[in-house]
Amino acid sequence: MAPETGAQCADTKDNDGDGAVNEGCPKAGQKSEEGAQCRNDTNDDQSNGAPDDNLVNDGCPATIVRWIFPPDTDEGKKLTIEGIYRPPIRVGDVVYFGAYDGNVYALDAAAGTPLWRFETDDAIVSSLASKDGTLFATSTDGRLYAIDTASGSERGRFETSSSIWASPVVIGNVVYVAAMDGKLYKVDAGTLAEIKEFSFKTDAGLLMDPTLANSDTLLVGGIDHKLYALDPNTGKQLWRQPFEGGNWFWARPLVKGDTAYAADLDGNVYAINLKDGSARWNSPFQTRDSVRAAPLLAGDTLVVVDRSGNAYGLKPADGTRQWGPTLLGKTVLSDPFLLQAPSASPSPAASESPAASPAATAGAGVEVLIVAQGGDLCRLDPADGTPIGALLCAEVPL
Amino acid sequence: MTRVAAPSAPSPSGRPRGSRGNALMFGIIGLVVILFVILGPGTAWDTFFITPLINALVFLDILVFGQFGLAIILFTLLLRLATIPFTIRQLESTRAMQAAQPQMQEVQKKYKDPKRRQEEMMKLYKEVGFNPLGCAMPLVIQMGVFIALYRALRFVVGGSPESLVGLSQHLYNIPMLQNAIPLDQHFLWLTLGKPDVTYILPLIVGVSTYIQQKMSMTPNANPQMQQQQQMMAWMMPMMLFFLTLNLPSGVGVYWVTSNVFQLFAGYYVYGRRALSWRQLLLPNPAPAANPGPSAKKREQPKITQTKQAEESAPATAPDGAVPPAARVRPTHGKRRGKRKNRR
Repeated sequence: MAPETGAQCADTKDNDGDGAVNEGCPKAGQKSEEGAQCRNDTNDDQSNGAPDDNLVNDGCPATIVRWIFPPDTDEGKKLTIEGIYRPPIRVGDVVYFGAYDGNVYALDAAAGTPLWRFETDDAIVSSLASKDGTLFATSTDGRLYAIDTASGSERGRFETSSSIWASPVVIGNVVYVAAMDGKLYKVDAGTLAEIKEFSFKTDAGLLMDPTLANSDTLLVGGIDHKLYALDPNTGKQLWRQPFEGGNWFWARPLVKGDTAYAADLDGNVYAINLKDGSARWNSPFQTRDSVRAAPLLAGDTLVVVDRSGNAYGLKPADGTRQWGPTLLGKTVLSDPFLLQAPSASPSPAASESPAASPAATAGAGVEVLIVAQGGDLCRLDPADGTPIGALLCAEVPL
Repeated sequence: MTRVAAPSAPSPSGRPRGSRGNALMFGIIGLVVILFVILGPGTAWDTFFITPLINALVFLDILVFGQFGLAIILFTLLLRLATIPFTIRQLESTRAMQAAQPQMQEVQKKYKDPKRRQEEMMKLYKEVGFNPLGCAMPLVIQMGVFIALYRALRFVVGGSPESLVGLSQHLYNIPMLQNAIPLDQHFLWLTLGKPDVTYILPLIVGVSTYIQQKMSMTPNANPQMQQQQQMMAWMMPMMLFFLTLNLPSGVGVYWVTSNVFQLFAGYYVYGRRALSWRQLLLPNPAPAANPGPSAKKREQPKITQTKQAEESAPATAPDGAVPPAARVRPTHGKRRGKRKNRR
């Protein structure tokens, strides 16, 4: 049960529909915490002359900023990470992410303090993957790097002939890397040697993260408007012809059962039969702008967010609109994720590899969290697309 | 015989070349305005400028084997060649203006009433073939391409996910073009999608703009105007220097190439004199109010008169105005040199 906050405390209604009125709100004469007081601590910060209510972070939003990286210190100001385009991964007590400044960062998950930094030769716009103490990172410098998770030292590298925008995917003892030279590489995770038995190449660049569907199908797509289903062992195409969209495929498709939900940069959302690559819906659902963010399944709702920040809830069965568009008013390129209040971790960060498609069941306290450009956090109820909290999108309190 | 050089020789149809150029120019401007009104500014700008420009750049990149810097240079040269009639017209107009300075001074002296003076000036402009619009057109084209190129480069070599999503909205669904993505944004020491932090390119842009400005500067009898011109000769390069510091360096490559092309065009029209160190470094001398015969011979362009004009009007009208049929003819540097050699 999430407490009521902010403006919800100003009335006598049950704003969050949990049967309790103004639960978690400060009592008369007491003052709730706000702003920087909501940062990572276990103190009842609000004293300000008001009676102590012995509540920690009362009145703070459900998402509390525990730390910010780079920190607002002299050391932190020297770092110009420029941008983080894909979700970080968490392994044990460490958070790893690649940044546009070309570095891979390892941070202590509890305090946000940097543990190490690994430098590549160009920007990183992909997510990372991890297996058995090795972190795999792809960079637009065209290389796949294997990095020791503990020390941040390089264990090896694999060079492609073009830049890499897609995230590496670890399946078993191999790493799949989709490159802009149109080739999908299969590399041994231990030696980083290319497995020559696997072969797949298109003429145009591959942008989409390779996605494993039902353990026997690997989905890849890119600039040629096509989505390919491949045999993960040989690279042989499984469908008679690839699925053709209206524009580039960049968003990672969502796989549920024998259906893949994919969106292209023309804003079309498709449901594709994984057996033969045929369309399951009569017509694709059309959003207002390009879709770069991966679709998300929350219970019986397929959540799609386009670049202009229009969020839609669709029925997975036929692609009809359940709700939306909910206008976030922000540019959205990163994947949305589900947040299970109060203790669940965001789904992409909980996964060691982005290969698995995020599909979760929505229930009470589940919300869709969307990170917009500029750092705003938007929170939606996946059932009806209504905002959670007083504001649909809010700046991260600094 | 008094001879006045004229840039606008009559066309075979009998219509002056200037008026045909004006008609073409107004036609282009009218078409652009109509498209912008019908489609809306954003769509028209994207559909008719940005998208074709992006696809043209990607195509040229394929032609030059993936060297995007060369593609920008090639694009600039092709564009400047396509608009060379406007460029030549601009240079000739400027030259005609230079040649007509003594007459302009005469007019300024003679007519104290500003309205009448303005009328006479306009008459003189018409007579010597100076067209203020003709001078502006190449600059308008150049600035339009500059802005469009800046927008296009953000998509083509921006290197960020935002720019790649933007590129997907503009690239035609042609496999050859799609296969060329992503473009290599490294050229010489530059990253074409990012500003040049070494200051080298901004400096080259500033210096080449300064030279180009000085070359096409009209000597002005009015000291105030001349001072303004001198200031502009510095202001424009400075402004472009600071702009290039903050813009993708591909835009700077375009500007430098364009300036170099303009220098060659200037050499063709003005001759070597326009590129002398003295001309470039020293302030432009104000034309003498009443140049003596020797000065006239040295500084003034040759003044020609059509047969008809010779028959119908004296070389100098009684009120001191230039006869209507007097025309300025360009004296091209190379051609003049050849004539000299023949002599």
